Amino acid sequence: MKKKRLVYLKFKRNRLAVVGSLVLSFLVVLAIFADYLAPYDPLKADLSDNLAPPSSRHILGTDELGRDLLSRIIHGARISLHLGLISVGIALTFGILIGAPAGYYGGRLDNVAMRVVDFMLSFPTLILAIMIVAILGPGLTNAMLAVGISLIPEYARLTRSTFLYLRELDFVQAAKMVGASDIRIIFRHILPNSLSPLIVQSTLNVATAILSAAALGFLGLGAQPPIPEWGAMLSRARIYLMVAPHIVLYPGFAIMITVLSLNMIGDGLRDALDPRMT
Amino acid sequence: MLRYALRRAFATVPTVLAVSIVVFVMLRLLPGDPALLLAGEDAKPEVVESLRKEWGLTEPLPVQYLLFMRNVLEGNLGTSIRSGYPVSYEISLRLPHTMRLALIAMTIAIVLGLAVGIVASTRPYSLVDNVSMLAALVGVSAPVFWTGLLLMWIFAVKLGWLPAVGVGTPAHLLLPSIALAGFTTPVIARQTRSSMLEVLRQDYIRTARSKGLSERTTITRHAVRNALIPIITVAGITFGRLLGGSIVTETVFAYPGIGKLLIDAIFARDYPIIQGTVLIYALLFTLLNLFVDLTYAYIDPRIHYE
Repeated sequence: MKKKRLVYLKFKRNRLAVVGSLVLSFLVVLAIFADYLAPYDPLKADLSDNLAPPSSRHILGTDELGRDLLSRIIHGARISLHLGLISVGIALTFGILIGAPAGYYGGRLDNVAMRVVDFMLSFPTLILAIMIVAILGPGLTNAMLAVGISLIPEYARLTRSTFLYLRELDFVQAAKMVGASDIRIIFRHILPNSLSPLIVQSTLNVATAILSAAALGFLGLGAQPPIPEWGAMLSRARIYLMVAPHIVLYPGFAIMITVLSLNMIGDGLRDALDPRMT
Repeated sequence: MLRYALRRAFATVPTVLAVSIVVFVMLRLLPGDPALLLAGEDAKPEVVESLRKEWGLTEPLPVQYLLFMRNVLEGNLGTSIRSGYPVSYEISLRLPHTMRLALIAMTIAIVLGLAVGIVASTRPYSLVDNVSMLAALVGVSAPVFWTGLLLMWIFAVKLGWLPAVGVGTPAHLLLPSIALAGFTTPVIARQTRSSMLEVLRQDYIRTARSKGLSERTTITRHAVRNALIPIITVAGITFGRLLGGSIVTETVFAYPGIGKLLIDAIFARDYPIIQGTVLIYALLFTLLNLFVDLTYAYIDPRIHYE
C-alpha cells in the first residue's frame, strides 16, 4: 500500500479530523464566495438600526454602526484565512531558508543561525509580534508580517533538526557519492522527505497565526476599522457587552470554530503521519 | 549541579545583552522624533535641539547605546513621556499585579493540567479521556479575549458575582486568572496525557506492577517522574504564551499590569515606557527559561554530566 494512501486512510478514521476538514472546507467556501454569500454589504452602516439583536432581517443582528453582523463575519472568514495563510507562508519560507543550510552544513553557519533563532525565541511570540507592529504601525499587512516573522524561529528549528537527521541517511550519502551538488541534494532529496512534520506544523501554525492576528486586531494593532476582521470587531464590541452581547458572541465564536477545525485537522495529520501508530 | 547552574546562568548574559541591543534599536526605529514629540510641533528649533542634546540623541549610535546601558544598570529606564514619572516607577507599580495574575493562572494550569492529564492517561479512550481532551482542544482554540469577555458577561454582568474590571480584592483576580488558565491548562493536560502514555508503555512500569505495587504508587512514584521532562518543556513555552495572553487579558479587564501599560504606551507613543516594558518581558522570559533548564538538571541528573 502506498504511503499516501495509508496516511489518507488513517486520517479518515479520525472522526475529529474529518469533522474539522468539513468545517474548514465550509469556511473556505465562505471566504472565497463571500461577496455572493453575504446578504448585505459588510461596510454599509445604518445608524438607525444599530445594535439590533438577531432577527429575520439580520440573522445575527447588527453591530454598533448598524452593519449586518452575518455579512461581516462571512467577510471576516476571508480576511482571517488570508492572514493565516500568508503569515505561515512567510514563516515557512524564511524558516526553511534559515534552518535548511544550518542543518545541512552544520558548523559555524549552524551556530550563528541558531543563535539568531534562539534570540528571537527569548521573546514570547505575541510580544515579538506586538514589537514589530509597534515599529511598522498598525494595519492588516503589518499584522501579517509581524505574525509571520514571530513564527519563523519555530520553522527554522524544525527544518534544522529534520535536516540534521536526514542528511545522515543512506540515500543522501548515495547522492553525494554520485556527485550531486548540494543544492540539488537539498531540494530534490532532503526537502521532499522533510515535508511531514512541516505540514503538521503549518496546519497548527495557521491556527496560531489566526489567533495572534485576531489578538493584534483586538488590541487595535492589526486590521483597522472598517475592515471586518474578527478580532477588531470584538474590540469595538467590548463596550456594548451589556446591551448587545451578540456582537461579542458571534465573531469570537467564528474565531474559535476556525481555529478549532484547524487544530483538529493538524492533530489528525500528526497522528496519520506518525510512523509508529497503526 | 552548582557548576552547571552557574554555567547556565552565565549563558544568559549574551542573550540579555542581545535583547538590550534590539530593544534599543527598536526604540530608534519607532516612528517619530521623541524630542519633537515632547516639545510639541510648534516649538522653536533651539528648544528641540537642546532636548535632543539633553537626551544624548545627537551622539553617534554606539555611544547612545552605552549611555543607555549605563542608565539601565543604574536602574534608570528613562522617563515616561505621558506621565512624567520614571519608567522604573511606573513599571514597579504594575509589575506585581501582572506577576500575581501570571503566577495564579500558571499554578491553576499546572495543577489542573497535570491532574486531568494523568487521569486521562490512566483511562485511555474512556469517556473521561475523550471529554477532557475535547474540552482541551476547545480551550486551546478559543481566543483569550473572547473567553475573558464571556466570563465577564456571565459572572459580572448577568450574575453579578464577581467584579468586572480593575484591582483591589482577591475577587478581582478571579476572572482574569480563569481566562488565562483557560488556554494554558489544556496545553499542559494534553502534553501530560501524551507523555504519560509513553511512559506507561515502558518496561519499568510493568516491573513495578508485577512487583505488586499498587496502581497509585506505580503512577505517582514511577510514571509521573519520568514523564515530567517534556511536560516541563511545554510548561515553559506555555508560560511565554501566558505572558503574551496576559497583555490581552489585562486590556479586557482593565487590569493595571505591565501589559496594559505597554499597550497604552504604544498608542500614546510613549517610547521610554515601550522600551522598558519590552525589556522587562524579555528578561522575565529569559529568567523563566533559565529556571526551566535548571529544573531539568535537577530532575534528570544525566543532563549536567556533560
